[in-house]
Amino acid sequence: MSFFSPEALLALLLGSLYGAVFGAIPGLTATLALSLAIPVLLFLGPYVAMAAIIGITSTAIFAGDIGSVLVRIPGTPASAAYTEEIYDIGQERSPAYALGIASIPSAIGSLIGLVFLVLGSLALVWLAKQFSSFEYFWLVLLGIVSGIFAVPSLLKGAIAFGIGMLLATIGYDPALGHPRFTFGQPNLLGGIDFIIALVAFFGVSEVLEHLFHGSSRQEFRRLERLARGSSVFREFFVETWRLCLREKWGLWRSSVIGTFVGFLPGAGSDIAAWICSNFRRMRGGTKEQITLEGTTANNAAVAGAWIPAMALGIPGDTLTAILLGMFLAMGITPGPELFNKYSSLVVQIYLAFFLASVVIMPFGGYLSALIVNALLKIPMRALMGMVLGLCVVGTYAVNNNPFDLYLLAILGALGFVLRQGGFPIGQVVLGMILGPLLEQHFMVSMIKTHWSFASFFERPVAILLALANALLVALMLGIRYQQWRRLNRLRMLASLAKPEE
Amino acid sequence: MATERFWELVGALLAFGLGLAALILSRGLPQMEGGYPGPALFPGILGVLLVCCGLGVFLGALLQAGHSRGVAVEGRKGLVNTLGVLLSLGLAPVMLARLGLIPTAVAYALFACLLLRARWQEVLAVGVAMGLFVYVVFMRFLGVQG
Repeated sequence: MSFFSPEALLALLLGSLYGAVFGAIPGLTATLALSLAIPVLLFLGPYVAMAAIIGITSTAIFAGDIGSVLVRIPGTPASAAYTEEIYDIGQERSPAYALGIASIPSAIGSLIGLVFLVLGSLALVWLAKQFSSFEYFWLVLLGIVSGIFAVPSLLKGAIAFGIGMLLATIGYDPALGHPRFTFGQPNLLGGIDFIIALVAFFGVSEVLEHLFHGSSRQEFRRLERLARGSSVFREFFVETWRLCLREKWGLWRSSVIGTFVGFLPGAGSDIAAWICSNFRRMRGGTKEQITLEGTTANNAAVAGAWIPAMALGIPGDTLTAILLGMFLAMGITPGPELFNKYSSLVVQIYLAFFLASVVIMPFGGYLSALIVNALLKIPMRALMGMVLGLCVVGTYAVNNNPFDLYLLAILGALGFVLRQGGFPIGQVVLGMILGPLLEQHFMVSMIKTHWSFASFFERPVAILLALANALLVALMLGIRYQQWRRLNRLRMLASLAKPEE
Repeated sequence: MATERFWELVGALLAFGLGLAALILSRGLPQMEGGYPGPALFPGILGVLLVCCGLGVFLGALLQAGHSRGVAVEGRKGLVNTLGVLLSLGLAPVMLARLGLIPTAVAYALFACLLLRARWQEVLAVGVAMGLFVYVVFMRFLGVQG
């Protein structure tokens, strides 16, 4: 099977449309789309599955803008940064022009991100070949620390990571191969299947949230026409392209910043979009400029997040954590091994990103907008019913084991409680991927050196990574302290202002 | 806001309980040669982390609940629906063995639709679509037994 096989191309196309639909409909997220698709993709082999995953991830983020244009509700959190602006563009000029701004700059951002993905992943793989368990330990720890600091509440972030890592300790331990926390249940000896956890945390908990809040009765008003006056094609492609040429430096800047933010573990597309659109907003940018920079950045961040995931096996966000879980479920270890043993798969990933950027986003963007505009007619309560049914079937399909359905219920309940309390579910999933890596590299290092902790500070790269960890903690604590002081000052001013009123 | 505070407390207690359980259960795990900590080390560290952070969030939520008007659970009906779906998921293995894959999937899809007060036409459409999708994609295309 190669990338140019009809199966892979079809998977890319169908994955893109599926991702676009999930990304565009408010309430359905890219993570949910990927979680529900994984049980199906597992059966299709790495080449077809990767093409579909790239289709889903690359279009789901840009499709978040479709919801913003059509109903003023961002389809994904990554589109929230400029929802007001893009909706206004759609109302003031035409929805086709607004969708064009969502689509063409997204494609350019994704393409520039791809260049960085190719160069960055190859450079990192070369570097990773020099890594031993000590360097990997610090690197994984860096991922965990930045993931915890990416959450507004440090304690909640730590709890989410802790629970994820604890769930991953169930089954045989990496040091002695001794079963842990299995309670004599043979079904737990292999640990909790990551895919089942994923379906439970994102699928079941989503349905439970809708049931709990009873918020599924929302109706969306559809657009009757996508363009006014001039043709849809002209508004969507020609006018947007002119804007891109006018704003070429903004495009470059937001692509580079977006890729870099995506590359950082814990930070994702939404943070990239907020940074770039706020930067433009503060400089008095027009609605077009703010939207263009935000949408470029969040798509460039998708490619950026793939760099550490592919080259080092460290996920940059929840989507790449799912990707890594998928790799592991297929028996592929991300990192240098992926580039050595599966170089054709790596080339396919690059090509799939290229096709998704150049063909799918611009042309599929228009098609997706039409499909989504029609699908907005389907009420959320019906969609949630489908999601629950798919969760049950998908979970059973992974191992053909009915025991997994008990896990689905337990983990779904856990996910629901955590979501309601404002604990980040994405961090639980990241913990499930990073926890075993951290333990494995720690135990291997300890056994190699007969429990000498000093060995973690003996190699130059290990020292640099340890310093990076310390620097990150100090920097983030400093920022948090400043934020806390500023908030307290504002509260004091507010309390002083009250009596005067 | 009060509802989120309540769930924050529940989440914090859950983390505390999980941490405590990890600490207690990991004591029974074997050590490595030379008395070095083995499989118990990592769960032990995670146990301490969860106990401490759970306690921190719990106290924080309690203090903030003191400032606000107290802790309350809103939407009793929503909670009953949620618990209903969770309990029914516990029955899924039995349903799967007795009814098979398609009826089980359809039953869950319909159950959720009904709880979300979908119209009968929607329920019917979801049931047909779900049954067809599971048959075509999972059973015929992917070969899932059921």
